[in-house]
Amino acid sequence: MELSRRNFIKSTLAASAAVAAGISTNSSAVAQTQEVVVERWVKGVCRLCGTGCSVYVGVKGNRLVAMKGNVESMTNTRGYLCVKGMNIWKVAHHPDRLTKPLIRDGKGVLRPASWDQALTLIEKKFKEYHKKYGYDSVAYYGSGQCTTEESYTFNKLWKGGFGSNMVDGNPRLCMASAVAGYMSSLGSDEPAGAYADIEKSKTIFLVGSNLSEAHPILFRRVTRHKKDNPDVKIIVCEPRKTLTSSVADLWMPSLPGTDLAIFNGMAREIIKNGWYDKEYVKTLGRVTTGDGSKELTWDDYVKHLEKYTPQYVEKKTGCPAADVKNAAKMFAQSDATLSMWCMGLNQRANGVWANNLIHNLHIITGNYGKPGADAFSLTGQPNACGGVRETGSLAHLLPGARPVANKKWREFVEGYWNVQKYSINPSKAINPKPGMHAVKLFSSLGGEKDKTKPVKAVIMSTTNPAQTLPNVNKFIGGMQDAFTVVIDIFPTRTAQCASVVLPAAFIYEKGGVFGCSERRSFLTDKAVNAPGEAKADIWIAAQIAKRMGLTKLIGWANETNIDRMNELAWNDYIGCTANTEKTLKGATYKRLKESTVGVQWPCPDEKNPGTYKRYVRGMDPIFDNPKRYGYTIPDDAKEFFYARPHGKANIFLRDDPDNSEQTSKAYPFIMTTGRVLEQWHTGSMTMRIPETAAAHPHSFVEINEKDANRLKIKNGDIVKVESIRGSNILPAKIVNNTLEGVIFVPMHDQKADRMVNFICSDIVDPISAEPDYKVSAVKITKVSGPKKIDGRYLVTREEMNKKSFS
Amino acid sequence: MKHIFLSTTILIIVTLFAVSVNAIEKSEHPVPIDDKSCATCHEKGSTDEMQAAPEAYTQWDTSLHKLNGVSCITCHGEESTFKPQSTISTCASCHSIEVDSMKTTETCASCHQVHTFRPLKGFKSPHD
Amino acid sequence: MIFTSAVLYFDKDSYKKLLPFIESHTEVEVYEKDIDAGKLILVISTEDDAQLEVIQKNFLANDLVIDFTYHAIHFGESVDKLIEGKIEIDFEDINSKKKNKLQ
Repeated sequence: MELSRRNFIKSTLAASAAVAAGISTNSSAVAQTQEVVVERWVKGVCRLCGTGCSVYVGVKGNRLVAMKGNVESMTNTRGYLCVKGMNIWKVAHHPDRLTKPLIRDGKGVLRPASWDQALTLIEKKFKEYHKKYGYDSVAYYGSGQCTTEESYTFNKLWKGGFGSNMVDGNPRLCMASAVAGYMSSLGSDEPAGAYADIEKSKTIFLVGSNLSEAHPILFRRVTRHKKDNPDVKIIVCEPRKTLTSSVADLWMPSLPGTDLAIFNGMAREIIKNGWYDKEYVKTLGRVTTGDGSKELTWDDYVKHLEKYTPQYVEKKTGCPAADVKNAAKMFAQSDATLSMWCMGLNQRANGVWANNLIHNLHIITGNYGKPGADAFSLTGQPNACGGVRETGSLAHLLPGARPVANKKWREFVEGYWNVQKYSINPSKAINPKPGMHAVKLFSSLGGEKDKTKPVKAVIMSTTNPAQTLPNVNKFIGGMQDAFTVVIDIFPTRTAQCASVVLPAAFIYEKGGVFGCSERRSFLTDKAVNAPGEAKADIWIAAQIAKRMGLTKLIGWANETNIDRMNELAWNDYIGCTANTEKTLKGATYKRLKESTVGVQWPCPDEKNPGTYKRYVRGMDPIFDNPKRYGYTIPDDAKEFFYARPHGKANIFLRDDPDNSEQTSKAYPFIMTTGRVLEQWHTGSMTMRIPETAAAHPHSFVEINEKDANRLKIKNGDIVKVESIRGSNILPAKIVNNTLEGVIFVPMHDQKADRMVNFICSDIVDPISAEPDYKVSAVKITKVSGPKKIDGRYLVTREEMNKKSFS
Repeated sequence: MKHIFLSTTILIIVTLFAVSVNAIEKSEHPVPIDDKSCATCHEKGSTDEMQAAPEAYTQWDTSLHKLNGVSCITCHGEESTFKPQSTISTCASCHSIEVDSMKTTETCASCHQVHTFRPLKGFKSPHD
Repeated sequence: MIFTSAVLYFDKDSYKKLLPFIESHTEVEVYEKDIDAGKLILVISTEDDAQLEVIQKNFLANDLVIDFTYHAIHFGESVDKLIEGKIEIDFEDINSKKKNKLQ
C-alpha cells in the first residue's frame, strides 16, 4: 500500500475517533487563527511600527481572539499585515501582564499595593522634590507608543502646570535627527508627501533602512510597484546586503558612518553633468551652511562639493565609484524620485547633516511637490509623529512642534492653557528654557544624596530606557537610586529599576489616536477591558493632576469614562494647534471614530479631506489662508516652503566628518545594530508571542566570512563582542552579505549578556542629541565552540526584585 | 479476539466518512524544533539535519511570500502552535479581499500552488 | 496490515509519565490529544489481530491508563485475502455460549 493512501486511511480513522471521543480536531494548542468565532470586529491601528497599518481586532466576550487588516486602509493597502501585527493581539491576555501597582520596599522587593497607596507616594515625592530641589527635579519620559491624548496630557501637566520643560521621550533616540533635518531644510517637521508617492514614483532611493524587516508592509508596496512597473528603478544604500537589496537595481555598499560622502558625491555628479533643475533651485532653493542663518551662493555649493569625487567617495565609504555615478543618474533623471530612510541616517553622530544632504538631493533635482517625488523619513514607532513630535512632547518643543524658545508661540500656548491662572509654579508661565534631552536627562538622574544629579524623580511610560539607552550601564544606577515610576504592561529591565511600577492598559483596552509616518492620525476604539487593576495612562495623568492641584488645567481629570477623557484631551489639543500648519481641527473625534482611513494634517476643517502633499497650492490648505498660520505666500506661488522665509528650502553645505567612534588596533571592527522582522524593540511583547519568539529567540552577531576565517570563528561559535564600554556573549552567524570589518547585532534581546546597548557608543548628534547607535568600535574574540543558547529570555516578575541584571 | 473483528466491523463505517476529511494530520511537529530555524532541516542542501520535505522550502524561497517576510512560522505557527496545514482564516488575515471575493467553495490551495503561491494557469479566476 | 484507531483515557496529571510508555510501542502513533480531558487518539498499525490484542493488554495493564477502547479498524488487504479464501475465520468464539461476566 503506498504511503499516501496509508496516511489517508490512518488520518480518517483518527478523525472519526476524535469526533466520537469529543476531541475537537486541531485541538486548543494549535494556532489561534483557526476558524475562530469572532463576535465583533473593532477598528484600530497596529500597536507596532510607524507604518500605521489599520486593523480590526476580533473580540469574543472580553477577549481578543483574532486580527485582520483593514482592506480600506491607505497605509497597509488591501489590508496586509506582517507577522508581528497579525499576532500582536496575543499580548493582551498573556499571564505575565502586570495587574497591580507595585511599590519597592526597604529590602528592594516590589510589593503589591493599591492605586491609592501608589499615587499617594508619587504625590508625596513629587511635592517634596518640587519644594526641595525645584520644579525641574521631576521629569516625565514618554514614548512614541503612547496615544496622542496621553502624551498631550502629560506634556500640558508638566509644561503648563509645573512650569517645567523636563519632558522628553524615546523619539529622541530615533527621530530627533529627522525632526531637526526637516526643520532646518524645509522649515517644518514631517514629510511633505505620503505613502501614495510610492505607487507614483519612478526611482526609489532606500538608504539607511532595512525596509524589508523594519517596515515590511511598505516594502510590500515597493515590491508590488516594481513588479507592476519593471521600469521603476530601486537604489539601496546600506552596510549589509539585506533582503531589501533583493529588489535593488543598484546596491550601494557604505561603511557605517561614512555615507555623507556618498550623498555629497551624488550631488557633485548631478551638478557636473547638468542633471539638476536650474529653475527649481533658483525659485525654491537657498544655499546656506551652519545654522542656516547666512545665505551663500550656488558657486559656494559647487566649490564645496569638489572634494567629493567618485574616487574620494569610494576610498572613504567602500562604495564603488561607478555606483556613485549611476545612482546620481538614476536619482536625477527620473521623472519622480522618492527617498525613504530611517535609523541608518538618524541614529548617527551627524544624523541631522545626513538628513540635510538627502533633502539637498531632492531640492537640486526638483523632487518635491509632484506625485511620486519626496524625501520621506520613515518613523519607527506607531505614534512618535502624532503623539510626541506633533504635540511637542520633547524638552524643547510645545504643541504644534514649535520651539518653546519662540516667545510668540509660547505666549499663545500660555494663554490657551491659562497657565497664568492654573500653574502651581510661582512663575505662572511656561519656562522659556528647554529642558533636558533623553541622554542628558538620564545622566542627570540620581538619588537625593547625589549632588551631581539634579533630577531626582522621573515617571516614564511605554518605554524601556534601562535596555535602550546607549552605553546603558552608565544609566542603570541613576534609575535605581532616583524615585523612578514606570508605567508598563509587562516586567522589563526598566521596571526592574523602578521604585513604583504602575500596571498599564494595552492600546485595545483603552483606545486612542496614533499618528503615523505619513501625517495620518487614526483612532483605535476600545475593544476589551484591561486585566486586573491595569489603567490607561491618561487616567494616571489625571490622578496626578488632581493630587497636584491641577484639575482646572487638565479639564478632563475628573472624568471617569476613558473614552470621554480621551475626547476632551483631543479637543484641547486640536484647539491649541488649530493655527499651526499641523492643524487637525477638522479631525473631530466623531470623524475619527467613523473614519476607516484616518485624517492627514493639515486638515483645518471638517470639510477638508486631509492633505496628501504639502507645500503645493491646491493640495495644501495652508495656501488658502496663510495669514491664519502666521505665513505669507505670494499669490502666484504654485509651490512654496511657507515655513521658511521666502519659501525657499535650504541647500546645506555639510562636510563628512569622522565624528562616530573610530576603530583602532584594539577595537578594529565596526559594530552596527538594527532590527529583525519578527521582533519589536526590547522584545517585551514579541518575545511573549510564540511565533515571533520562535523566529528570533535570541541575538547573534553577524560576521563576514572572510573576517570569520581570519579569526578562526565558525558558524554557531560563541563569541565575545566588546567595546570600551561593555561586552556581549553571542553566537556567531557567518554571512557573506556584510562588508568586511563590519559586524551586525540585533537590538532585541533582554538577556543581560546579550543586551547590545551595553556595548553601544553614546556619542550624540550635536544638534539633535540623538545617539549614534549605528557605529561602535569593537573587538571580537572566540569564547568557545557552539553551545545551546537559553533563548526566549524574559525579565520575570521575580527578577524585578533583583538589583543586578541576569 | 475474533469477536472484536465482528463487533467493530459493525461499528463506524458510516462515521468514517461523516467527518470532513481534509487530510487532517497530527497537530504536533514530528520532531522537537528546539528553536532552530525551519531552514535547518527543510532547506535543500542543509547538512545540519536530515532533510525533510525540501521541495516546500525551495518553492517558498522563490515566492513573493519569502520576499515579503511571510515565513514558515506565519502560516504554520511554531512548536506550541504548530499546524502542518494552514487554514483559510490565516490567508484571510492578509488576503481578506481575495477570500471574501471567492465565488466558489474551493480553498486557496486549490489554485495557488503551495508554496510558490503562483496561481495555476488555464482557467478563469474565481475572484472576479 | 491492519490499522486501528483507539481512544486512550488516562489520568490527565500523568501524561508526562505515560508518554514514554506509549512511545515504547512502535506500532502506536498519537494522532490527537486533549490532555486536559485525559484523552488521546491513537492509531495502531499491526500485521494481524493477535499483535493488536497484545498491545491492548499491555495498555490495560498500565496503572495510569483508565481505559483503552477501539473505535474503528481498517482491515485493508486482509479483506482481499479473505475473499480469495486465503484466510479462514474461526467462528468458535461467537458460537460459544460462554458469556463474559460483567465487570
